[in-house]
Parts: sequence; structure tokens; C-alpha cells
Amino acid sequence: MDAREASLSQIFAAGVAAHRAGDLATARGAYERVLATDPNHVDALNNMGVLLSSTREFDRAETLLRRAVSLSPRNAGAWNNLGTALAQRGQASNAIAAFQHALGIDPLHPSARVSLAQQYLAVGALKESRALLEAVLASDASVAEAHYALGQVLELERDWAGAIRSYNAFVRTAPGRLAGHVEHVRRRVEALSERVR
Amino acid sequence: MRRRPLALMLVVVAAGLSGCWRTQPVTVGPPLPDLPVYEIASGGDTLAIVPLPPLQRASRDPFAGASNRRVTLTTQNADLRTLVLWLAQQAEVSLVLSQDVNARVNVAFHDVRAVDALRALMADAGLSVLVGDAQAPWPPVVFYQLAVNINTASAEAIAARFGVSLEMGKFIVESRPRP
Repeated sequence: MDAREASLSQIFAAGVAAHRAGDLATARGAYERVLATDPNHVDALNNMGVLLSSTREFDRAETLLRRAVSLSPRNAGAWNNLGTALAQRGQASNAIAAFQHALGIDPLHPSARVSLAQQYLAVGALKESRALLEAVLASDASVAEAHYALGQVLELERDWAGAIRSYNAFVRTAPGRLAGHVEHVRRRVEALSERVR
Repeated sequence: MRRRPLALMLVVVAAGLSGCWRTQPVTVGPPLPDLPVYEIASGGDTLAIVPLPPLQRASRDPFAGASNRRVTLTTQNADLRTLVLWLAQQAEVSLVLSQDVNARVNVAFHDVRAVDALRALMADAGLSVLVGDAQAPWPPVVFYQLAVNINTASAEAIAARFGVSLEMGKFIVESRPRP
């Protein structure tokens, strides 16, 4: 690795650290610097796409994520991110195609399985959604998003106790970036507990 | 009324007619906010990039493992969703029905394999199946529209069949494993 590459790696790593800490401005600046030097940096394209999705700049997010998957077509994570961005834009068919493509590359990809389960949930296919989510959690019980979606499924199935268990698991496993969702879920658990009594 | 093999008489009145069955959400409050699942790449080897899988030789027929159970059934003005799911149960196949699958139908089956009745019903109702990977643990999704094999179809066919953009169709085609 030469000095230029080392510097680029350091800038990218700083961007990732800032991104994970929720400092989007710093992360954005870092990713932009990386992309200015290397426009085909797949991970920077991917992360910038994720960042822009979180700020609801979906047009540019989709463009960057499409570039990421075109440069790295076997990258299941990038396909999942593209699908998630499309789902957030309301393009359910495109999103499902992207998730299924990700799972065609890696059938056990946790994020894509959770994302597809969310799409099943959205169309009311609760049994199929629950099966996928339970499979994800059987492999890795720390996937907070899977607990969250499973809680929603169980709630719709009127399994109040099960929903409370899943929501509590989400609260236990949710990383700091999901603090807002944790608050919603805590209130929902209180409401469900009232229902159970 | 049309005559078809398998003694099928089927009239699809129209998609989205009245009397469609829907599950009513039952929750204790407003829907929780969406929780999109994104992955942040931390550089180089951290995103899930997996080697090319072996070529899938298995059948991509979503009903390949169906049972041989036979059914006899006559209905009038039956709910298409209920009928498809019942036949799937008899044929021992798993399906997910898209919410836009709604119609009332008249059918007459006499001593036919449940899976054949299911295929005939779906063909006549304009339903098609979106199939994932051959080894996928999730069931196929049933949509209205023409059937297209996403692993062999052209970008234009994928775009037309799945309602995705042509650009997305091209991405999918270009991303297939090279022989």
C-alpha cells in the first residue's frame, strides 16, 4: 500500500467511525474526499448511499448505490442497501427484486433476509415473515432489526406476550443509532402490557 | 365461459372486485416507524462478498415438490385468494400471495391433481410466480402478471414483468454469474 492509498484508507476509516457514531457531517466529508480521489471506491459509494438515504436524499443515494452494485455485482450487502433505499422510496417491486438478488448471491445474508421479511410483513404475509425472522434470529440473536420486525409480526398475530418478548429483545440488542426506535418500542411494550393484564 | 383441460371452468370476474378478503391490522397503537436495514461497509473485506455459488441445476418449478393429492371442487363466486391458498395446501406447496391478488371466480374441478388445478387456476386468473433462488428457504410470491424466469429473462422482460426500471433489469442481467 503506497502513501496515497494509506491516506485514503485512513480518511475512509475516519468516515466509517463518524458514520457509526452518528456524526453524519464528518462522515459525509470523509466519503466525499475518498470519492474525489477514487470515484470507484465501492465501500465509499455504498456508505455514502446509506448516509444519503438516512438524510432522505434518495435520488443521489440510489445513484451511488447503483454504481456500487454495478462495480461490485456480487456484493450482497450493497444489493441489500439498494433494495432498502428503493423500499424507502416506495418502489416495492424493485426492492423485492434487489433483496432476492442479494439472497441469490448469499442465501443466508441476514440483512437481506430481514429486509425481505419486512416486505412480507408489509403485504400481510405474516407467517412467511415470521419464519424468515425466526431463522435469522436462530443464527444470530443479536440482529436487533429482526427482533423489531418479529415483534410487529407477533403483534399483528395478536400474540401479545410474544410481541413483548421480541420488543424487549430489541431494546436489549439495539445499538445506539436506534435510540429513537427504542423509545417507540418501550412505549409500545407498556401499551401491550396493559393489554395483557 | 370457456372449456379447458382438466375439466376446468373458470371465470375471473375482475381483479379488485368487491368482497375481497383482507387481514385487518390489530395493534395497540399506531404503526411503529419503519426500520430500514442498511449495512455500513468498514472497508475492503467487511461487506459480504461471497464466491460464485455452483450453477443451480435444480428445477425452478415452484411446484416441483407438490403432492399428487387429487381434488374435486365446484364453487361459484369464490374468493380467488382463499381458493389459491386452499389448493396450495392440498398440493403441499408454500406460497405468498401479493395483496393485489383479489377476484371472485367460478371453478369446477373433477378428480384432478391439486397442483394441476392450482396451475390452471393461476394461468386463467393471470397470476404468476416470482421465484427466488432454487434453494431459497422462503416461498415464492404470487403476483398478477406474466411469468418470467428472472435468471434467464432479458432486461426488458424483467422490467416489464416485475414493473422495475429497465436500468434495474439491466443490472440484474449483468449481475448473473457468467458460465
